Amino acid sequence: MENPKQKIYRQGDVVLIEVGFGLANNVKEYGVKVDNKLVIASENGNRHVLNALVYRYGELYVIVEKPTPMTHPQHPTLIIEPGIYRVRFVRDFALDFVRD
Amino acid sequence: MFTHIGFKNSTLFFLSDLSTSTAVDRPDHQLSEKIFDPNVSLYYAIVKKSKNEIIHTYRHRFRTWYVLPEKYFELFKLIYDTLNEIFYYPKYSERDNTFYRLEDAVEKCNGFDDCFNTVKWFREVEVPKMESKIKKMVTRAREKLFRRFYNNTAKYYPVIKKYFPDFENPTQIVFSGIDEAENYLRKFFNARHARRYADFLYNRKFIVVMPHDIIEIFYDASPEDYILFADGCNETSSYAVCKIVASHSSTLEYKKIWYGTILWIAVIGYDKLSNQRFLHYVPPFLILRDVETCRKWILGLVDERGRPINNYDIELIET
Repeated sequence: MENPKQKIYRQGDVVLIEVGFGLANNVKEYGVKVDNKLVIASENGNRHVLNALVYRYGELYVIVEKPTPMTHPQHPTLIIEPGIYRVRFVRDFALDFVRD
Repeated sequence: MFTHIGFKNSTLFFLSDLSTSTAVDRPDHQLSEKIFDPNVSLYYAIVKKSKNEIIHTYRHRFRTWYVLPEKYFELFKLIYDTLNEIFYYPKYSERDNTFYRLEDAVEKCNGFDDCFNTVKWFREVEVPKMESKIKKMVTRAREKLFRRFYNNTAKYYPVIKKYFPDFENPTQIVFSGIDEAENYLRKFFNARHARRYADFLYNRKFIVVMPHDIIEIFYDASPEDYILFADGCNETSSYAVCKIVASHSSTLEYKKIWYGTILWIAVIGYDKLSNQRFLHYVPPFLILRDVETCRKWILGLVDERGRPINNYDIELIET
């Protein structure tokens, strides 16, 4: 049987990285729920929107319970499979890959 | 005057007018600054040979100190300066071999004068030989790298021209003040990003930004002194990316290849699905890596040296 692969989704400059079992449990147990919807604004003001529970456990995580679309006016819609994902952004060495 | 030299897992030495442990904590009795060196072997070899000349020994803060006559300070300083010259260069076998030969020579020398002359000879003869060999190696490697840049730029020029036609005649702006540059960048980016780009520009004198069109920005420098290379492109059904390298063109001409200091590396791309262009800078350690590895760094999938961050198989789904 093939080992399951770690899913990584990218839509524009937003990257969702699936986390492993241990971290997923920690996020659910110790993370602080911040919202029911993930909304991230791009540089040009348009928004990435994903209807999923948003938790903060150090970093930002989303808990996707069923296949859910992530939408953005300028990018094709991405269907996110169930799982717990770390929310990251594309990096830039000049900008120290830290985003506001 | 007396030379104090102390060992723990490093060496510390200085000159003092006192021969006792009081000197260690009394700056007013220290006639030189305390010199620190992580290397121990060479200094300890000298101290072992000079057993008959040790004036005093004491322990202070877990370090064992030896007090020797004043003349030993010059020898230790010479060793320190020689080691600094050897270890100025990153790890090459030539550098390491020179150090081991010096270590061997100091083990074998007899008496203060012989040891002093041995180290001096090493500094004046062997270290320049080592430098010359390393410089030749570096020059050959740089020539090979820039030859690759030139060849790849010619090879991938059609891709650059297809997706980034404005690279042929970009907007070029020269600023004499970094604050002016930052104010200009704020027209396109938020305050924090404008500041970061300005800092990047300050250190490198030349950057490229692409809010919509390509803009080349120079700080207190002339556009003629800089050159851009395309060191690889990759085109798929959903995107096209190219790795660009900026270099300060040197006045040296070696076998008709111009080469100079590499300033930065960036990935420029065109997202076919959203009809957007982008530019992201990547770490300098990725200089030898291909454009796909640079793109994976931008996505957070590899570290700054291009090695995968984790051992999982990944499935990357993008739009």
